[in-house]
Amino acid sequence: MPGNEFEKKVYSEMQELKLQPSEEVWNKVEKRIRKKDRKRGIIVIFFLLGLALLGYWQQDYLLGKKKTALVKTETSKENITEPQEKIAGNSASNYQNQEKIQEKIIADEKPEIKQLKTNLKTIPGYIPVINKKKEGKVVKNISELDQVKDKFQKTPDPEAMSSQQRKDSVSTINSRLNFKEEAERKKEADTDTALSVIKINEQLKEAPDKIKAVAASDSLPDSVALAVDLAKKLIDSAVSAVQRKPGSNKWKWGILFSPGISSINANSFSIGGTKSADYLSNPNTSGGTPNPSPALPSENKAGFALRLGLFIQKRVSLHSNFSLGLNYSFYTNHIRKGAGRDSLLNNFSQSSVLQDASRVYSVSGAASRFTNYYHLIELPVMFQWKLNKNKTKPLAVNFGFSAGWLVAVDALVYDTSFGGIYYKSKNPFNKTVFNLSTGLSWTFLTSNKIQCTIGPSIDLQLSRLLNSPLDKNKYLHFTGIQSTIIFSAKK
Amino acid sequence: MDYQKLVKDCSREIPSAQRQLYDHFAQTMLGVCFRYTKSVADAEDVLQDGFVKVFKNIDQYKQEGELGGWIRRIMVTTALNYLKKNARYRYDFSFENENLHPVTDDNPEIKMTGKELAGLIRQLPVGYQTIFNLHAIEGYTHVEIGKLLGINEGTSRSQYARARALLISWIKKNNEINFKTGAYAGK
Repeated sequence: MPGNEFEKKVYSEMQELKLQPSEEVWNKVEKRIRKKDRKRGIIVIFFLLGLALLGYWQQDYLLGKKKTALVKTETSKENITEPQEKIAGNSASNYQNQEKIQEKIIADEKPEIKQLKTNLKTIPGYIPVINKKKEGKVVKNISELDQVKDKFQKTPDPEAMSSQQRKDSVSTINSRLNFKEEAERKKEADTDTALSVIKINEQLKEAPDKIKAVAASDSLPDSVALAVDLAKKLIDSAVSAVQRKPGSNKWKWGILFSPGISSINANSFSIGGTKSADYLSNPNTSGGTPNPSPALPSENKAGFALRLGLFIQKRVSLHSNFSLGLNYSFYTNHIRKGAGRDSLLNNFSQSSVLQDASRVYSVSGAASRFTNYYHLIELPVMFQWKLNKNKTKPLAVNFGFSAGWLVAVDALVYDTSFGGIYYKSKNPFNKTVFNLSTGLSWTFLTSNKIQCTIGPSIDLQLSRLLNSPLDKNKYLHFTGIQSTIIFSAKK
Repeated sequence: MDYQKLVKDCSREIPSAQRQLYDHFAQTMLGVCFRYTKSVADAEDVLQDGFVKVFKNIDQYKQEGELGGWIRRIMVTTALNYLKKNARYRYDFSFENENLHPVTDDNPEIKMTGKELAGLIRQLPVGYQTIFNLHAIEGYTHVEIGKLLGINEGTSRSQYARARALLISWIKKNNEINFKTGAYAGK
């Protein structure tokens, strides 16, 4: 406080100055602080959606529990041509299910189709074809019902629990309570550490003045004066480091390394394999030799993927960051191909698609595995939102968008001509791709110079991979573990 | 009032606690904002921005210093940012023009209310007004003001001395008018 009398008078008068703000001020403040909650809700929903997609994908492609649409279609085809004896071997319950489902389907159909199917039933040896999708759903529900039933039967009656089981339950609860207490103790310890840091900071701020006073005294020998000078410089640098704001608004740059898997999917969002029904409905779209029953392409299997990149990041608010980047992405996926049929290249007048092809393989046989390679340069725009209040190890959700260019491709494209072929060509591929990205990032290391994060990441391709009527429903998705190192900006 | 509980509830984003905190400090803080701006509407804008910052960063309050002091510092910083960003103030928010107001060591008697005195402070040029507020009322040193505003310590000192002289001349003039009109008769 200033020592002068005038300043004292002004100070005392101004301390008592109070003015009543209008009610509008609070309304605006309230509106702005509530808006934050809505934003957080949207982000959490987006994050949960991303996690659900990730989980669904993992189930389909890593565990291989579900059949893709392609396998289902092939199974369906096999069922149509199966002998009646084999079908008769099915269990009676499954048959009853099929009958019920068929009745339901017929009830939903138009009268003309109903009549046609009734007529078909009168033909000897006719085997009804059931809509696999609907059947799958019902049968799955029945199996789920059985699972629930089994689970219910296996659940122990609390009264019938043995004393050992009770002891186990009590010990589990106790261990959880101990964990909670331990967490609270840790929190208190963290608070103490933070308070100590604040005290040290205050001492550091005062230190240069004290040293100046010592240095100003003439009684010091040269060597001591030199040491004092050195200490002063060191403390100045420490004070400036302490005074530096932790989240400055300067751009920071970083590197990105993200290994994972990539696979071909039928849709940008509903992940579940490619639809081979498209091939059946378009048996001869490419203008090749007509073939009523071409061999279907093999199933696409997920392959290794890698993403390397550079990015710049800027803090937008206390909880959010914005980043721009440049990534090189390398995606693969596997298919099975038959024997080489390069002789067809000399005969390309029969099929327009082979004009730019370099290799041709037969689809039937599927003797060897072939890996499709895609090389992309991508420009991601990402937004990061911090989910917790931990300053040193924050957990954040990422979401954004990227535009990419397919710079090189070494992949086979399917065509129904010549009984079903794979051919190698760059032309059918869309050169520009757009992706939607989401993921989590956990900061596990923070120092003055670097910040390291790691977390799951998922990229959903919004644009089609191929610009071909046969393969219009192919989207290349990526799932991986994204790790980044962010370097602090220079002062 | 239990500030510790109030802060805890505000960090949990309990609306009633937020309203209580606002009601408790709004009047004092509008007084602070009023001294840095030229109109009540601008002061209310600063108050609004300041309280949004307070509620967003309430978990950073360490319960060590006085809560009012912490909120006051936020208001002052918000007011300075407002002056720098707002076009009406940005032009005047310069410390280059050395208006040669004579320096004085007088200590005149202040025969006016706080609001009237604040009104006089607000009539000072923006640069003078800011430095006078920071030094005479908030208690910042000239070194701190220099760092805060990105100016030399010497500039801060000279601007303050001139602001003080100008303000004292106005107070004297005001006292003379009041004396002639008998405004303070019987006091």
